[in-house]
Amino acid sequence: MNCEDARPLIDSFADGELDLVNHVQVENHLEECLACDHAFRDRSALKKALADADLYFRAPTELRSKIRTALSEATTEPIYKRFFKSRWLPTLAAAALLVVAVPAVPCDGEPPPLPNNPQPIPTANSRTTAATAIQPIAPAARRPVVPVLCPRISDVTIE
Amino acid sequence: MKTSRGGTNNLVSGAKASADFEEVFLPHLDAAYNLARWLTRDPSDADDVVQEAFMRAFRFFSGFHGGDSRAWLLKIVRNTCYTWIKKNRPREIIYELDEEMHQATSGDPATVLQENIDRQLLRKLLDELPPAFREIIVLRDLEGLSYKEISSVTELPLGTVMSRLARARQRLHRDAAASATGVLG
Repeated sequence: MNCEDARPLIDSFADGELDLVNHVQVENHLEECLACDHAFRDRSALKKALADADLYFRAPTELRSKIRTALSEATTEPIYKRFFKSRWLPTLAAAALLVVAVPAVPCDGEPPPLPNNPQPIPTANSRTTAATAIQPIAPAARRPVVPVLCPRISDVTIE
Repeated sequence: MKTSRGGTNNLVSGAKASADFEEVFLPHLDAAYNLARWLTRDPSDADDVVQEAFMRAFRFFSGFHGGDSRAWLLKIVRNTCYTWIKKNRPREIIYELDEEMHQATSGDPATVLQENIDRQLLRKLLDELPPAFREIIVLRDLEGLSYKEISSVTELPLGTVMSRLARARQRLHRDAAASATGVLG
């Protein structure tokens, strides 16, 4: 192992997070490379400084009480109140509005003719009366027809 | 007060869920607060964020099927923190990641660190790191999470955890050495 391989692994080595093979290789490299050994000692010193500096913030005691109270309120609250506080409520309301407001697409009428296409569009709908409009389709050109209420242009093969 | 049977059952199961939740997650309150405090850099904001995170965790408690409860909670705390920061201090999210891996140092940096870095200075330097660097040092060096746990909390690949932690420490070390020799601050 050379310096280029060892340097990216020095932090993991210092943290004891390397697998055995890499750990031994880095260890051997540090014994023979002063620069990488310095880098390792830098990391170890920084880790020690961080550990000794007492940088940990402990939660205030009142926070524990606040959380307990909030949890208690949340569990004793009636379901309908919880529903109205739900963050999904606006999304549900919007979805409901869409369902009500958007009218169903009429399926009984003829689909509008395609521009520059004099032929009527064959459809997969059984209500199509113009039987002659459906021509035999060559097997290679066949595409799956999805049974939907309204035919989609993409599902129709035009010959 | 008259309560329907279903209502009573709901209350009982709610109380049980709350008790179970407290038993599993309240022991990690310090860890949650520590992460939130370092990410928000304000005690009052950290209070709010941790409360919000615990309520979120409680809402999703049914989705917790055992395993590492601390990592599960810290993931929610972290996400809540970033949501809060995006809303309240959007500029903080924009950070630069220092790609320098090989920083030339003079003398014996280990000695420099041990002799000259005091607690207040180290706290200040850590506080000034970009959030992505700060959080990874907090999770590893203050909280003692394994790389795998950090990967789970931050949703980063293990390799990115390794390289980001190395860059974060490199940056902190560089700033500390510069402070100690009077280049900074």
